[in-house]
Amino acid sequence: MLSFRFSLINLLRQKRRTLITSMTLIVGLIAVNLFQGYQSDTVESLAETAAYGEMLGHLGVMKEGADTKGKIDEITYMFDGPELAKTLAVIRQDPDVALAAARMNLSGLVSNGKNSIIFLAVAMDPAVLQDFQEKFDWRGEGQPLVAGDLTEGQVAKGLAEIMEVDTGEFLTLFSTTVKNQMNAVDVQVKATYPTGSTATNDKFMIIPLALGQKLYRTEGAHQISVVLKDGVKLSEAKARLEAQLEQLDGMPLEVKTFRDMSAFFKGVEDIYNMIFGFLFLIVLVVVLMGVFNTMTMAAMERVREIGMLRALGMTPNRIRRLFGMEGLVLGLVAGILATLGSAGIAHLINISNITYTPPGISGAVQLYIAMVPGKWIGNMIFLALLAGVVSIFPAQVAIRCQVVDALRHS
Amino acid sequence: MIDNSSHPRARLKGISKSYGEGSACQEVLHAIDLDLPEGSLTLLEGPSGSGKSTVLNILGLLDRPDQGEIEIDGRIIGQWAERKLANLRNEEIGFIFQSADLIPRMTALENIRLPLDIRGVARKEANSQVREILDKLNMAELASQPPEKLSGGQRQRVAVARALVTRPKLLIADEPTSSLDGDNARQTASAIQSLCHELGTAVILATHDARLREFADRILHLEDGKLTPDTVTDAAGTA
Repeated sequence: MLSFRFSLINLLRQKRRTLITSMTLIVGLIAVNLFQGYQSDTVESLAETAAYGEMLGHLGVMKEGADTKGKIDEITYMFDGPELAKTLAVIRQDPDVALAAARMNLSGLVSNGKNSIIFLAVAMDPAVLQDFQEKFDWRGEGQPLVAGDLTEGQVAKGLAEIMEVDTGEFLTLFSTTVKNQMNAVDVQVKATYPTGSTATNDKFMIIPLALGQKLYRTEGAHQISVVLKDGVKLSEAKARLEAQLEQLDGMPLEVKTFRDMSAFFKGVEDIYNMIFGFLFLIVLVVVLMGVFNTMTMAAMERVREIGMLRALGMTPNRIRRLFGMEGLVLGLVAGILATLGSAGIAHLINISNITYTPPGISGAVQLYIAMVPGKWIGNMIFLALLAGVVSIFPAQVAIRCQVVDALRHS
Repeated sequence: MIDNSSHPRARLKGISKSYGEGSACQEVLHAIDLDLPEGSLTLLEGPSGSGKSTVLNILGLLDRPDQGEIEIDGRIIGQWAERKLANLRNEEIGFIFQSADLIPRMTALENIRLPLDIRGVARKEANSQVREILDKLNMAELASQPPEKLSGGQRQRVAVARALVTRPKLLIADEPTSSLDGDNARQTASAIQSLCHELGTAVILATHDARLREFADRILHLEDGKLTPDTVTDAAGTA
């Protein structure tokens, strides 16, 4: 209590200095909070894109080595029909699994009769596909795929433009079967949609699983996309699923999260984490230097007062605690104001509807700052504690001094 | 008058202290012996630089002697750790500094309560002790005033109250009236005298202020680092 009282008195003693130091803390923390809110929103959006937009689900189940050796030996690393049925049955027993669907990753040439170009496609059961697209902000123009119709597909806008096709018109897909024979199927464009990425917008398609199986002449699939009821418990669900799949003897499987499967998501998340760490470090150094400087000045000014307190029986540790508490209170008050300020500024930014086009993205996106109170409060507590710890060091100036010398100080 | 048969509250034996090193070394105290009996008020006089403050600092455990022995209430203070010294200062020694050295923005009551807060006395109990001492010094009306609103004399009386609130066994005052006018100086000295007699506190008061001689039970004169026997006088100044 005494330390708290002293800290308030001392902070109010040099109001202007306290105000300037507080402003440094507030501005620094607001910058960190806003970036963290932006990062959270972006990463969450990308996670949604990966899980639903790319139809990877939260978890992907595939044969061990499917995403490496499977690239050149598809038949060995794909599920065949019976394997697919057995694996799906096991996965669907898990009470936390909301949806499990077979998925094929296809590639080949697409032709409009005049020209042809490389295509990449995902093949999935249309009923399941609709579930994915409902959960994601899918911005297609046209009709959804209908179960049972084997001739329809959704085509990325860029690819549709290149192929000069509109909804209702036909394209032909050429590829090799799992036995390396050439095959072709016709597909009617039911919808066009922006993939969101310039890298895929000119080559991507979504077709029914049965059509994909027909093109590859197989009853199997490359992997199983699993959507969880609670996508936050990712690692927990992954571990449980891995354990459950061990019962499928003779079929070594691996379970991957969308983080592992989506290279784009992982790359962006890593970059954001690095930028955030760098920004946090800079702000931290600036803020701590400010607090250290302020507390050093305070210690220099109060050498005599500290000498008096020591004469009255205050121990050096108690003096350190006084300074620590002063830094803590300064950090906490500034932290609270910064957290409130962050919420206010984030709200203003969000309602301003500012848009921008990130690199590699085919359309403009809104600049949105997510409110992340848990993280912001964590930042506030971390900064306050650090300010408290940093403030202990300047106290050494007065503690190192002999009491008698401190009392002579003017 | 001093009861020499009583147990001394504080005792210095053969205390020497020098400052500086080598050829710049200057001996400030030379083999000082001093007893401060219970309930006595000792005036320490001497010219500037004679070592009065050094004696007080050593007695108050704020400084360590080069040689000699300090005894506080029967305990010999050797190379005690700072923490132990701090606790002893808090529990048994009161200080009045030349300037009151009050904490700004804290009320007089809070300033006086400071040694009790440091000791960890419960707030209610501490406030009651502070009120008691404020009543004794006739300054209850100042309790809620911060130092900025007090006169020099009032501030010094608050400092006296702060020094006495813990009922110390030893009170050390360094030029406590140097900045006070005649009336305030006498009021402060009188307050110290009456409380030290009442509490049985041994008081040593270093001063140049001749107005304080009338309050002393004995007067010691320090010169060239020595307390010589013939400088010990009674309150009237006779040998």
